[in-house]
Amino acid sequence: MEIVDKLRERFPDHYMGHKVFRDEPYVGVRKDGLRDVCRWLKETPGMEFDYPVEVTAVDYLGDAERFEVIHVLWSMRHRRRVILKTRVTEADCAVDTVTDIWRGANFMERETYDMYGITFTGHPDLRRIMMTDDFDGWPLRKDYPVEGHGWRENYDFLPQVGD
Amino acid sequence: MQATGYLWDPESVTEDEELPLLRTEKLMLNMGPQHPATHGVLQVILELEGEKILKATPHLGYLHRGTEKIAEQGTYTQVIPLTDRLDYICAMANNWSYVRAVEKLMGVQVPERAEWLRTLVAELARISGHLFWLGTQALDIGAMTVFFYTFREREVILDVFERLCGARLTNSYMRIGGVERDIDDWCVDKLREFLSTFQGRIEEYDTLLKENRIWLRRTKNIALITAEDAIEYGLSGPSLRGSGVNHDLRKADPYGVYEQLDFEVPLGSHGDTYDRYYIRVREMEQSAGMVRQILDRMPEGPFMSEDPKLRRPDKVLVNASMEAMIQHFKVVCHGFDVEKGEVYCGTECPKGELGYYLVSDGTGRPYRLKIRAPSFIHMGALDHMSRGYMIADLVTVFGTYDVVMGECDR
Repeated sequence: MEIVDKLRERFPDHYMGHKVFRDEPYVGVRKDGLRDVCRWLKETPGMEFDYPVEVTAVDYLGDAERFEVIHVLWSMRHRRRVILKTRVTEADCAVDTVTDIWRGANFMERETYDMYGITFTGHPDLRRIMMTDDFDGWPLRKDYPVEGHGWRENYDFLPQVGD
Repeated sequence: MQATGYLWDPESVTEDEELPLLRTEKLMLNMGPQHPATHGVLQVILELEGEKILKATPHLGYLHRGTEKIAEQGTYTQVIPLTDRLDYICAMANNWSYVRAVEKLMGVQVPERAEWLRTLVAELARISGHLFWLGTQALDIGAMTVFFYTFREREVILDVFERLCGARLTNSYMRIGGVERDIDDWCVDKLREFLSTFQGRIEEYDTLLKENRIWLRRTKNIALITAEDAIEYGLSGPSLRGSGVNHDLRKADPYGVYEQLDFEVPLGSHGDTYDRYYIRVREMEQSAGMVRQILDRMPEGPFMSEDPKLRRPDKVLVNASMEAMIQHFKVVCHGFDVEKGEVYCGTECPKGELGYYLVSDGTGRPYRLKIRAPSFIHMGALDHMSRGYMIADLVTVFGTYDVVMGECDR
């Protein structure tokens, strides 16, 4: 695809392979180059991905690079989508923010931080957004139990009749 | 001293005398979470100077139910009812958005009649959602009458939905591979009757609001956003088109049978609340036109995919044959496996672009389901859009996004 070819040509060090699924490119980008790639995608004539659709993450528990941060972008002029995928490890759980490129990414990054604990370096206001400020844990990680943990485990149960 | 309306007599002040200064300071004011005009439970911390908003910080999450986490536990079919509970005003559109994502990932071919039926109910949901919005937005601003009129019309659509799938709000009408059941003559007659009067009803709303001086004062030049800002903030749907950006996924990335239908995308020019109100009303007209076209042109045929993986066998067969019973059990309890992969699929819902990012690990359960909720993204622009306006305008700003907190907090 044209977008992928240009991106690979421009950022040979940051490009990490791609896949085209249902006519939409899913491009792997190295963590260090994410901001440069995003800025280039927004500002280069012929690309102009000016609309931030989504910033989210997926937890691949067990992989060496555990989390995958996903940026879905849309170009108003060219009416097409591109999906960027960036892997981060659990030990160094941080990527650069794109809030200064698309202001709408602010809330999306906050939600990703809230759910996965991935830090967005340079984010102006990185706080929890869905969970309470004193919440312990990262709810959408695969090792977080569905029923939650903490206060539920401390319940006293009445002994059943006949025990 | 004469009563001049001043705190002091301006004539008594000589040039070298200093005016008495009023002490001013910034005021923090909490609004919500239980506020009748916040469309759910939303808290906003306001920084005020007098009545002017300097900064509005929304605190979300009061309705967070962990939909994305729960979706990872069930089969693909079991997620459909969860999507109803996002934007409960127009659940049909949410259902469609989700099943489209799964179908896009699996590469399922949906029968033609099912696509027509889906488009029909999605457009009805758009009318019902915009009617709800119009009623509540007017109610928030102080025009109570409109609410009664719009709910009268909405009732007809809900009756049709009830007949179609047994539920008025949480429809769960779509299935992966088709729809649950076919439309009958009662619904068609009811819809035709509804369409015959609907244009007149819209004109009624226009007489109430379109040139109403109070409505104009409360909506013109309120919550302005430029086209560039609206794009950068990721606004979608009427909130984006109100600023004059021609972006509608029904045209830009067509799905369903929208390519075969004749409709226009109404656009605003100023990007204020009035423009967004105006294009929502015009969108209702377009949707009504589409419903009419669909009722006229809908082809006959099956409404559910024949793929035995997706389809439950007929009840008669289940009672008679062992194989059918096993298949029934398999489809209901185990669901179906989806090939490893991931996909993003966005749909133009009444509120904006509702998207699902779906990751499959090859089993019968979604590995990850991310919901891109337009209401949530719109709340990100709340601070930008409410700065400089009065406290009373903040309610207008929420309203103009058509925000539903169930969808915002998921």
